[in-house]
Amino acid sequence: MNPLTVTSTWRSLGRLREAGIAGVVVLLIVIFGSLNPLFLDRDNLSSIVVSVGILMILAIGQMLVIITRNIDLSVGSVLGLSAMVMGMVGRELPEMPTYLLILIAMLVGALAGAVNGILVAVARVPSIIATLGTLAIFRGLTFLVSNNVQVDPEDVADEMQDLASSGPLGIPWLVIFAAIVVVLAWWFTTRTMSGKRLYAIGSNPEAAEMRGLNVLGMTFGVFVLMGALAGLGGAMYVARFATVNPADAGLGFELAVISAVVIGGTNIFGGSGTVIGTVLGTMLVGILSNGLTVVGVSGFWQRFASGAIILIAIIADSFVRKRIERRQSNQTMARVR
Amino acid sequence: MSNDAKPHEPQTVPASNSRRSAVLVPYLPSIAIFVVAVIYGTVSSPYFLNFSAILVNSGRYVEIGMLALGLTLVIINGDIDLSVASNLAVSAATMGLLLEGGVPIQLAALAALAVGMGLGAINAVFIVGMGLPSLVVTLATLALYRGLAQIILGDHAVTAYPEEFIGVDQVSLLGDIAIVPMPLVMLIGFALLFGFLLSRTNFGISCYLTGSNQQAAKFSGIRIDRTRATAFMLTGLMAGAAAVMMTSRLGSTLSNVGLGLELLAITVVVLGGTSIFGGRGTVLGTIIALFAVMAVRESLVISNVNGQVQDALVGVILIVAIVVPQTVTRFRERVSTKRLR
Amino acid sequence: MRKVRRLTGIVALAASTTMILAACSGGESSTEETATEEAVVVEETSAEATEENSGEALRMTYIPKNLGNPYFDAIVKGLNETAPGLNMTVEVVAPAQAGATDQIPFIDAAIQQEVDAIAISPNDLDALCPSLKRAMAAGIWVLTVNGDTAPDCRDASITPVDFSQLGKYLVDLTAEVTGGEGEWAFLSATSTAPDQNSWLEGAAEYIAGGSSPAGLTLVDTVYGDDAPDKSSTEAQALLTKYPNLAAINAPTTVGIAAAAQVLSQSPKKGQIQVTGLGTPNQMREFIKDGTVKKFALWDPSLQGVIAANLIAGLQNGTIKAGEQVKFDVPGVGERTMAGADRIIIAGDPQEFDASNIDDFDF
Repeated sequence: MNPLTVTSTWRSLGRLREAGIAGVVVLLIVIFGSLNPLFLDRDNLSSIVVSVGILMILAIGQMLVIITRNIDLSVGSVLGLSAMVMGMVGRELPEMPTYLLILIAMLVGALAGAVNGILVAVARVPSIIATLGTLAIFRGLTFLVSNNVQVDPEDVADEMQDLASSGPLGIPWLVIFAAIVVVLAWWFTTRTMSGKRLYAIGSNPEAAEMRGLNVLGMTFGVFVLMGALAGLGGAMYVARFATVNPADAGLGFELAVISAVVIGGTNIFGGSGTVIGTVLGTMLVGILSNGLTVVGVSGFWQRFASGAIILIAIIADSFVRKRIERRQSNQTMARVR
Repeated sequence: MSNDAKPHEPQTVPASNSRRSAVLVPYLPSIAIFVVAVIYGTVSSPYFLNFSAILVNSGRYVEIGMLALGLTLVIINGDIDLSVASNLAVSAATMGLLLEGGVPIQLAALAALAVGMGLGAINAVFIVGMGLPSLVVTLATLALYRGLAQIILGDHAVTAYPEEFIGVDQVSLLGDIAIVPMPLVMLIGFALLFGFLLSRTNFGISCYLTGSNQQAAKFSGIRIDRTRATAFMLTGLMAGAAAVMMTSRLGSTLSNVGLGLELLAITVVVLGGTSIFGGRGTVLGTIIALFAVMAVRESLVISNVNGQVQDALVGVILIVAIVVPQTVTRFRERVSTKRLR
Repeated sequence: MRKVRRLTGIVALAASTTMILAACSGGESSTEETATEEAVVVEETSAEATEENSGEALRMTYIPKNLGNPYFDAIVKGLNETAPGLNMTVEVVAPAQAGATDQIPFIDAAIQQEVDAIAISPNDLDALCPSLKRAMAAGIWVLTVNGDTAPDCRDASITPVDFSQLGKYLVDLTAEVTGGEGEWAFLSATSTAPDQNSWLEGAAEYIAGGSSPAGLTLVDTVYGDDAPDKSSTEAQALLTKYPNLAAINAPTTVGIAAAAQVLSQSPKKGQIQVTGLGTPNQMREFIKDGTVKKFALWDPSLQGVIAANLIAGLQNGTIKAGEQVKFDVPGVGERTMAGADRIIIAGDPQEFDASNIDDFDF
């Protein structure tokens, strides 16, 4: 089998899939827009974009983790922990500049990610187990650190809160941060050697090891990166909601994040996934959730719908993939004869 | 989880005369945790060593245990099922709905079992039939089934259960002579059944082989599809049974029961020595781990430790229980390979 | 073969050990009593209590919905301030999540610890009953605070204000901030929360009854599930669904804060009113920046004070639980245990606006 044929086939498959998701996104916008024209109202659209922004930052990080054939279930708890620490610092030291607070949140997140990284890369704990444990551990830490006291809107500087609603050219800073993360991730995965190595590690860890790739270091690094992004997400959470409750903040986020990544075409077994796909997957999840609410679909059906959407996405994936495989084996058979 | 997708796993290299003790190694973490938890409980609260009280409270752990038994099979197969708790909710909701519709309780309970198994079968259709990854499918059905439970029940809770049905967790088999809670007996019964299945039947052998190396198993003639599908359906059946038990314990049915139970069940299975990658694990390990988790939680709650801290400690225990044996094994490996030179 | 033998052997050993230990242990054997047993007769319990209470401190466990919630912290404050004076110690424990069944292990632990009283802010009407009834059967006083279960599962219930009037109060509050005109919507918590539902029903009855402000129209009721992001999404969706919306009324602390945050960052701030039930600390910012004109709540700590005094009184016999019992709470006044359901109303709603927002700290 000509390797070039394989790569180009996968790439065009990927593009086809991305086009598919984009199509679904447009379709949803059209459907919701026609059911309630105010869905397309500027306020509503910017609210969608803001809530998608936080999800997007987390999804990019999760995508990188999944590409290496790992998973991070603790994102919600890391977000909560960084949000709480940043909120508390902001409360005690109100004069601290906003950018420094955001850096603090990212630092806390990165530290938490480092714990995950050590467990997975060094101690060789399977990532699903390690992050299942740290999910609870970080939540407990959030509790202890906050001493059961939540952060209230009056403790959050106005400047911080404005990040979620205003910015240059009318685009909220939160959205700009998300866009920067997306662009950086795109550049990293498509234009750098390290990025390509990440895919190699995910496709075949043993082979990657034998070729001399620093699997341990890169795995550790990708978890730290995920943590830092979760920290950024935590900072944006504080900006958006202005309340940080130790029990609620970030609770249950991991489901939405992983759904977005999977719907975006990233293979759960690692080795493949694109930033564009993740962006589209995130938009799909965000628009679906907001649209269903605006149209008045009850919360019960929303749960059902999000589960159904994931199933549809992976069934479609598998269907297309099988057809490609069949076509390729037919080609090989033809060549052999 | 596909089997050609496993990162490097350390192998156990038993030294010459430690073969017998090597069999106990997977259970050591759970046993150690159990002992430590009991000591902690005794030291920190004078009320802890009240065995009759603990047994009275054991109902909710039996439910977790029932889920964990099914999950043991699934995980040994190399798969995973995150939807068990949502499955439980739908089964309970169906039972409640039927009861309100006038169906006698026995039939309604049977329906719960059937629904549970049916939902497990649906998982199997996607995972085995269509070849989709079990992690993602059951992540989706986790949400799908939970939504279904909420749609079925809506806002209200079903409370009109007959007197004889409520409180099975309080029924003691030997009455006053010795407190032997009915649920615990049932759990032991199920455990023996599953243990027998796993160790003495062809099905059990298929599970281990499917989990170790799917390709090799397929080429050896093992019906891996049937094995995996059966495991999912059995898990669904256990979820239905757990739903019946939980409803009897609570005396009511609500749509948001069992939230987060799947994570606890998986914790128990992994703690018991079952490898998350498949191919290894025992029912005995799962049961011992269940008792260990029970000891931990009960000792913590009797010492007035809060929910978040309890969860965090279980997380720590899970990680430590995986890291320590692995480190020991790798150390032994290095030592014995040195000896070979 | 060996494996099966070993398995059976260990199981048998464990089972028999457990049985022996259980038989030997003293402990309360409340297992024979089924969950349907009636609450212990008051006379017997208070006599028993005065016998046991030989000067030892009373032990109460309070189980809020979950921790980290400033509202429940205020109740705890009330308990902690009053308890020492009554020779009482209070232990506060809570589950990680506010699920219907998450409080059960804590109730069971309290029974095992042989406490004198359990106070609980329940997450569900019925699911807790089997455990609560076992507690009552074991001679423990059971009190529900700030919310209720089915009446036969507890000795008495303390509600913060008259819940039957709260629905009407909320409608009138909306009228006040909107000037009596316009469309408005409820942003509630979870659709299964019994107290929320009773208020919503009360409001609906008031509106249907015809005596509510004529210019107001209730257009929708949405649920934020007490989660900040869901509540924000629902609040934002209300703005989109109803372009002529005049007010959002959120009778839940999470909901009102989320709605206020959404509006304070929106161009419609000040145009659409936000009101409902919230804590002063959380809402202070929004009063000060003009998003919220007025909202209400009550003093949660009052319930703690009453609860502590009630338990002390019940235990030493000065208060007898019954259908129409008046008792005095030092520093607070007289309260009545009313009706067949033995409900005690703690106080009246408190309104907060710019003039008094700085006077409170919870």
